[in-house]
Amino acid sequence: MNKAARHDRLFQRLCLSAALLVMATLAGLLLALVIGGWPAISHFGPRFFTSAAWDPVADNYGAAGPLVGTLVTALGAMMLALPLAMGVAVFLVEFCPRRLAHPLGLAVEMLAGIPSIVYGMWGLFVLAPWFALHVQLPLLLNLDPDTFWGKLFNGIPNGANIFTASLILAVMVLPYMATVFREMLLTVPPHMREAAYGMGCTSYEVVTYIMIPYVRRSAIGAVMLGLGRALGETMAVTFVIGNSHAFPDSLFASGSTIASTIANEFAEASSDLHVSALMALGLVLFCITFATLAAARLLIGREAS
Amino acid sequence: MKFDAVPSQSVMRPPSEAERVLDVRGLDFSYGQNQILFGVDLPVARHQITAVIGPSGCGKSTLLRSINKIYDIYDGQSASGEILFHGQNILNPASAMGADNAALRAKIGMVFQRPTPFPMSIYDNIAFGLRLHRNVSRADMDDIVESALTRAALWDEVKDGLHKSGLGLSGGQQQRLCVARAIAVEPEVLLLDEPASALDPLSTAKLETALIEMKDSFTIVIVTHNLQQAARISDYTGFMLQGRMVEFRPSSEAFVKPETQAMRDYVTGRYG
Repeated sequence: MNKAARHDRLFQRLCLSAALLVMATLAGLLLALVIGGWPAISHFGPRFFTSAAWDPVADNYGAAGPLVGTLVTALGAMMLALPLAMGVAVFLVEFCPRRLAHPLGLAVEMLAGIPSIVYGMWGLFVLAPWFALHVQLPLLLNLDPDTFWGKLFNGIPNGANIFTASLILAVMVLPYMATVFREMLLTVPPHMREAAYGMGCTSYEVVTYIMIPYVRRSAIGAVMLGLGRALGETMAVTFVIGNSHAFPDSLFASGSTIASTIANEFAEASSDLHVSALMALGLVLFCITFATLAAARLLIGREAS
Repeated sequence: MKFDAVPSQSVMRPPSEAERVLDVRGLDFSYGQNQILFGVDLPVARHQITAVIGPSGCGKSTLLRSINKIYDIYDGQSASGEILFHGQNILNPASAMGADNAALRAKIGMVFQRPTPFPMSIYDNIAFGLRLHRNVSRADMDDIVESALTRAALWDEVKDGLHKSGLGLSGGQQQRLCVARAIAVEPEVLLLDEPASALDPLSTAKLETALIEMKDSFTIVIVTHNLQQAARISDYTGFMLQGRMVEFRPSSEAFVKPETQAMRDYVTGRYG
């Protein structure tokens, strides 16, 4: 074998080992979570997922509170961010004058680059007090606490609750989703747009009936990617969610997510069971996020062509 | 002789003004700084087929794209001059026709070079355009869909699968679907931009037959690079070169004895 061929084989092996290292890290991480979380899961059984009793003093752990908190804040964030992100993307692709499109697109991307701790501080010091004073308090005073709406918006008016956490998450995933949507809309072939305009569609009709259906599958994938981010987001949520382990009983109730619970308690976890319960929480989050991202990958780029 | 010479002669034998449903007069068109059309005239006679021929890049597609103002969806493209439709200049945004592009495009439909079925069923492809412009009952819709597909010579091939995706059809079928979709809204004028350039000879023949039969209901303007096609189906022919209308005459004369040197060279194949 000559020198060049040997060199090339070495290069291939190096690349292969880099790829294997990533796979090994993933497997090791999963294994560590399973081993670490197993004592808690085997100790509590299915009750670990259904009980909302999270009591480190009595060493009794049920993950229903953080589990529901994670899902509700993430889904709420998607509901808030989805129409806005779609609006931003449609504006950038369809209506924005060409010389504005580039700076505006850049600004949206920069928004995605702001560190989450900054969002968290803004949420705690600016958003939460404003929200408590101007939204929560008036609703609390004006709604009959026995009605459906009264129950939905019930809670201590301190601005730290499930809803403000969703709001912060929405702001965080919005630029990300808008960027992905924009790239998808740009893949709609120009002749498709022309054909639709050519038969007398208004811009609204072209966007709603032709362009969005054309990218539908990918768009669902993009939503899932955003959801994956929202599920695992830690710092910003920890700041504004109120960090109560109780099962959230209203939209304005304090709560917790899996990520915020882990961040808050890991340093202080003293008993083995507490550490194991947190590990088990991590495993649950890993599985949810992995499933979401896998589903997103399956959908993205699979447009009927 | 090459195409780069700006033609010096121009011969116009247009239909009388009373016959014209659409009249392009002195149309200039620019992409940014780049002027594509120079004072182009195109008189279009009612219920006739008008063909526009010429070498690639002569501006024939741009002329067509001006007539239903599809260029208007892009920045930096502008047309000036007159395109009279029902006596109004559609290029003037102050006229009733010029103000509402969507309404204009419902009256002046367009079929593009590449088949463009929408990502929906065959039935919905046709119903879609109709629902944009008026309320149609379910039963009426079925009739209109059948009639449009029949006139576009596609009904027999798709009647058993109307709810299958339009994307599953062959290229020729897709193009006839686009024709059916365009005529379902009953436009007055139908513009076709090299509609057969991506089709095999059999599909082309079907499309041509359909166009000739549609003449009774619509006024048709077709851009084509296929001289035989223009000779077979058109009543009037315009020959363009370098963004100018060089010769415009009834097709029966145009192909037999072209008067300008440029068109003579083109139809005898001397331009290669």
